[in-house]
Amino acid sequence: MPDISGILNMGRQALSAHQRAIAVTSNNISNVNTPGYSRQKPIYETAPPLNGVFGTGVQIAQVRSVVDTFLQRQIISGQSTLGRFGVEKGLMDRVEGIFNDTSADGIDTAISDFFAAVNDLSSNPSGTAERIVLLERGRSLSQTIRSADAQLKSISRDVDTEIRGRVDEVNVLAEKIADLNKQIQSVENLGNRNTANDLRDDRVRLLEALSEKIEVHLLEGQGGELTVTVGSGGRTVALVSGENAYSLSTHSDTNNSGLAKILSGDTDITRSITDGRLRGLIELRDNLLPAYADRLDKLTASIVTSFNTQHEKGFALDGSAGGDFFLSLNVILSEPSTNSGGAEVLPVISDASALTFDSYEISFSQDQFTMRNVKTGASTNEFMETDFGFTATFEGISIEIAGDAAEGDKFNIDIPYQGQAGKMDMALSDPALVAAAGSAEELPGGNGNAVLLAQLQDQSFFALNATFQGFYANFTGEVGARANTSQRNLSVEEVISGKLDTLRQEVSGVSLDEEMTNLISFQRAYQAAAKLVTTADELLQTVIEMKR
Amino acid sequence: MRITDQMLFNSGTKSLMRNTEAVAKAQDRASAGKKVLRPSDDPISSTQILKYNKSIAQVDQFTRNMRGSEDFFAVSDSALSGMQEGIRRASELAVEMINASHAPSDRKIVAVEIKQIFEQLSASANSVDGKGQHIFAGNKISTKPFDFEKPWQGEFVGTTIEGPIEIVKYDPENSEDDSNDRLNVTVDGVNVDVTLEEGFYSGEALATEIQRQVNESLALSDTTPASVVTVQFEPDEEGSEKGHLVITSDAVKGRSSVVFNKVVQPIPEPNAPTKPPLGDARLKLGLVGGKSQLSGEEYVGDNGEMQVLIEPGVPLARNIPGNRVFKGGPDGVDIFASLINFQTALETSNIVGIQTAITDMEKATDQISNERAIIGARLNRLEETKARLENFKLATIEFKSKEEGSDDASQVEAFSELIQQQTALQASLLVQARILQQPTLLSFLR
Repeated sequence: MPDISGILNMGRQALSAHQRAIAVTSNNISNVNTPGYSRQKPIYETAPPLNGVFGTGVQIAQVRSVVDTFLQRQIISGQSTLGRFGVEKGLMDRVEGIFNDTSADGIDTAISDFFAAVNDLSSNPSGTAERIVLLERGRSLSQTIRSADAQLKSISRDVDTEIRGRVDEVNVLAEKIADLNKQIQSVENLGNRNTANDLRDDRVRLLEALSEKIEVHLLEGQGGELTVTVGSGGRTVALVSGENAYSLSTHSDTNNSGLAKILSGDTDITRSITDGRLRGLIELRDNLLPAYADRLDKLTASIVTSFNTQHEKGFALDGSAGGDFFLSLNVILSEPSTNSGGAEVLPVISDASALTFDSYEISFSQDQFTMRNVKTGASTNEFMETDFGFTATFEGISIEIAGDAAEGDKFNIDIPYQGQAGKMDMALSDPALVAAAGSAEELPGGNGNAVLLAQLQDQSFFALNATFQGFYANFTGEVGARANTSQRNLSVEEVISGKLDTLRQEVSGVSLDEEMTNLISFQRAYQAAAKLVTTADELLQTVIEMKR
Repeated sequence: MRITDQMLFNSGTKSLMRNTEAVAKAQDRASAGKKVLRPSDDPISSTQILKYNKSIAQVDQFTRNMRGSEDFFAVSDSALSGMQEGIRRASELAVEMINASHAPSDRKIVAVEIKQIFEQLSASANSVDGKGQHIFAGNKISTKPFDFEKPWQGEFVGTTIEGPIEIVKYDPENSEDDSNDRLNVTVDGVNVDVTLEEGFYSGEALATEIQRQVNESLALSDTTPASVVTVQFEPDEEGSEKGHLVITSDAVKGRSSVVFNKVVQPIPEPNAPTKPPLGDARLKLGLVGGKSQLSGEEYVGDNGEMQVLIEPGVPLARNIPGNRVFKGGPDGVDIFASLINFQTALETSNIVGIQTAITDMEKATDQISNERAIIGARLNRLEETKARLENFKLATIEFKSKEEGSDDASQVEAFSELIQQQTALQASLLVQARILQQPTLLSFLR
């Protein structure tokens, strides 16, 4: 049985326990609006009883954070998806803006206007005004396409800059997490049952921020230290391990036109990042934007080659044969130095609508020439003999070969259409040189070629699998669909993340009503404990006065 | 379920934001008057909208092309109808003048009128449209297609003869006259007599002799400047003696030509000698029944027909080349040459020439009627196409407005959507306000 001083001691312990409880409550109330704060709860327990029978009062065993670790993990990984869709939505909005012909004048209108001018020219082939307008529209079409291409490139550059910036942020966060690992370990290894609640909350907040940028995999060790890894498969690398942070670095990748690649040590993880904002940025930069630019290049290349090929068949006002209308895009021939024969190969575009823009290889073997599409494997060996050598026409390119080839000789043929959208411009500046006439004899009123030029608007192209404008319409639909998907994905993820957040709030959030109730309850307990001390004091007083 | 303070505030704020966004979007749509503002609003519709836009723009362009053609047709047709009038008048005069009761002097007066008709027709043939383009010049729209001012040649192609040709001298004693040594040809209305020596001539020798005598003729050399007449034998095949005589002149005497009348029947003069008229013998030399024509060089246009697209891939010619309508094809008639022949025939009172003019004028009328019929048919086709394209455009606009949500029904929808979203926003504002004012335990603690 405890003596009076024991009672006094019990009162002191109770006072201290309830005071701590009130302190915990006030911490909760203070942090009611702190994002990521988990409410804490004082855990009361009885003090070890005297002789195992008589209770000796109360003590706070620990202050525990009320958290659901499973939910926390879900929220952390949800941030990655949110980050990816968020960045994709924002950028797709920008990309979509470039190709938004629905509301404003864009490439589609420019093509329509251009062909309207061709039609006007065919109505009045000798008209100087019509010729000037056509050149002007050609210039404006080139300008519109170039500007769309420039905007795509500028988005790509912005994305690259952002990737470099985000990697820096990842490194800062990793440092902080490593630091927190160290602090948490030192708090929790003191031997008592204390947990580093606020530090752990901080760490979760940092992990959320980190996960939003790059998907992480987490592994918590015995001592409370966390290992954070990123990447996947053979390219999984540690970002944080215990107290150590391993920073990522960015380098300009010469294999990817100087765009940034992300390294951890020597391991290139650019393509191994599984999710998060960085994954979204890389995907846009390396897949989507190049694909869109490629479409624009193909469209431009088709316009340029078909218009030039047809224009060259016509005649200008001065009777001269038509030249290039747009800056030319021609077939390029290259041959390896190992060729031993003396054959000369002359490739020209014969039918722009049949072009594939793939690469071709002509090889000479067993007295036979074969022309092969390197990409699809389609080939022809139907070379016809002529006065000067051999000739064949394959997929819109006609080939003339003069001289003798040696066994095993190879020739490579390419139409370098890549980057064409950025280079599109007029070759012609003199309105009189527009080749509207179909023959020199029909000048000045002849419009034979102008009519054929005008019909290109409705011509279907193999490389586009549609007309110019049909292809462009499908293309904008594709961009729109992607933007639409990003928006949808983002809003779904936002709903999910909102739901998870609500669930977390439900478990870990601070309720003021609850805290007020606790506060009153702790206050009452504290008041009662104080009364206990007074009572014990009076008891002692009584004992002392008994001697008088 | 534990409800915490942050939950209440967060969910309130989120729904406020969501509703505000929805209102903004509905407002955008209602004020723009359409639902699809960006491709992502409806990727499939936006693809369709672009395709519709292209169709609409093309219809507008084709309509513009057709308007240009219509102008051309109108100008061409009114020029041709005026010319038909002139030809009808010439035809009337020909029928009138063939009557033997008319004196040569009467015919000379009518010749002046024919000349006027010629002038009128040649002016019409050089008509220009509103843009100053020559409508009957084929592709050579910037040049006058018919140039009657410059020196030009007449040409006479005889019927087929075969050498060697025997020239038989005129014998007054021979009752069955088969002589062919005395010829009469007319150049610019000037008669030239040619007498050939008896004997056998090759085609070429015959041509050389006739050419020499015609050019030496005093009558012809009076014209200033002197005409040069070439007479050539053109074999049907190289080296063959079968062929025809071609008589050409570079006569520069005003606007007349070298005309070789088919048969000369001089008007009998009082006290004329009783010898047979010069030139009956020309029949044997293939100089009767040949074709008299302008050599065609006064037409400086070409036979280009300008095709203009009236629908995707459908071109329609808009002009009528002048050589086809005025100079005729292989079976047609050279209207201007005929008029000049007619004029000459009147001046020389050549009855056969006048007779030829009657058939020529008939043919000319048909020739122009045919071309007017072609214009009419093209115009019909144009009108029909225009109406069809217009309907197509209206339908396309309707499809487009449905697709982009700018039709009436969608407008109403957009407005009610806006009102709905505004109501929702007001509701969530109200709720938020309530949440903020909601009493807590604190309100009751004293």
